[in-house]
Amino acid sequence: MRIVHKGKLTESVPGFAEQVTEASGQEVEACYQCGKCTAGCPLAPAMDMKPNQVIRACQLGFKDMVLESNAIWHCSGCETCGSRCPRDINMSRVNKALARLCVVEGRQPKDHAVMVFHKSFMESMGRWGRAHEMEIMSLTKLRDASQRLKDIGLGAALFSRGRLALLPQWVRRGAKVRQIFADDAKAAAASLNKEPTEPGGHGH
Amino acid sequence: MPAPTIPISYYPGCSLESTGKEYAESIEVMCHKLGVELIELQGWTCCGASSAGVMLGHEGAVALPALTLKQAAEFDRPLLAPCAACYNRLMVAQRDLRREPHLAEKLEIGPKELAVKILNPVDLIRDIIGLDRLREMVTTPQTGLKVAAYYGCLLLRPKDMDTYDDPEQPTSIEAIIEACGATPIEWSGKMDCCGAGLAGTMQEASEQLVTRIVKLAQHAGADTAVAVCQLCHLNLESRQRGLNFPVLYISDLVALALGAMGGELGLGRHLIDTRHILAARAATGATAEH
Repeated sequence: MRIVHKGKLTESVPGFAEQVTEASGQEVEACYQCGKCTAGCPLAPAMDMKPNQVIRACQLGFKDMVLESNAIWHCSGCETCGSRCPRDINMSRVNKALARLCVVEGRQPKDHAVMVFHKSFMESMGRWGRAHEMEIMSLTKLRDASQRLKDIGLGAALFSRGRLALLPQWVRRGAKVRQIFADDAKAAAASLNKEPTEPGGHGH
Repeated sequence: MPAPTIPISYYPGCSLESTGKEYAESIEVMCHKLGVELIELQGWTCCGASSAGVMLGHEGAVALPALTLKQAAEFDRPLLAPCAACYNRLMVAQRDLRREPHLAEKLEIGPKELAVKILNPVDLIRDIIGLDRLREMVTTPQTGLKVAAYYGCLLLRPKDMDTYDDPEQPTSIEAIIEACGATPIEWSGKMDCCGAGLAGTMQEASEQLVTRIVKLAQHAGADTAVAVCQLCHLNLESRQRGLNFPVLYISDLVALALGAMGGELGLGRHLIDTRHILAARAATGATAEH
């Protein structure tokens, strides 16, 4: 299928709905567009594509459209959608799987700051075995210009109340965390080269 | 002779060591007053919070909390996770691993790990201690304090976790508020999202969400709200605009009712001063038998 979206010719990608179903564990094809997810989504006003539109686009195979949206990055993970969907689809899981796909394929995320936050979080966690908040916020601000001057007052208020630990906490079991990251990176690289073969998909 | 303490494994999570420090202090004092002995897991690792779900595949995102399940399974005790994200990641991991025996086998997760009872503070108070026992132990009823119960998102959603209450109309926190002698108010914002981790980069969006939630609480007559998550608490305090609405933790309220002083609970670390509402409670004639 081919449509014009935002002035561009967009082709649907065969197998994309299945790919999203497999990655998210949600039956993307089950959605019948009732709209409850969008109606209850607290972040919907901040999304360029609403949740029900994102899943519809997945059903139709419009991969570029969804991976270029900010919706997948602006999901807070509140799971209000999943708690109300008559088809038991957890749209929050779909968004996260799409965001991951965006990263794995090396695409530019529509909301750079949010992606940078997640990336910094994982790096910190990998380094110490525990997430060091001061480091995460500093890295986020360094890597994204729009964040540089944000929340300086809040940071100072937290620091003056002894709530911003300067030193990270290193734990020996951090090695197990790094192993999980390494295994994940291998799986991601493998998924780029071939179709996923995991039998039966996985739970919601 | 002092009553025997109840041993519970403790998983504070990364935030409680830093921005959520006052929550950790509050939980520890509350547990001490309730006769719960918290035994921290040695060298625990991060659960991955919301970032792992975005940056790792399904297997990786489950493998992180699985590490903690393995640690906790070494002890015959429930595991308390005060942070709602940690709690959610552990519960969802148990759920997914029950459904996916291949993955459980791969991650070396067996019946022992799946049987670990994961507790959030509401579970601890309601199920381990019990409301009747709590009522008996209250020395300083918080009479006259009107409190909005703020459940947030991650304690009760997704709805197919083995959770402690109804995901649309929960009542457990209101029951605890009453047991403390305070008055729970009826309001519609109790399950509304504060913006969670997005508040760190989407400040305006979080401000809109939080200002609306706080206004709902104020219009319903609340003096304060109780949160069961340090990120909810931080967002509710820091993203409200010009409303000066103090926010307590569930453990603050319970500990105060059990005779704790505000300073022990880290109330001084809160961004919005709580003293005026606690003084207001005293002014309505609540008895204080410390």
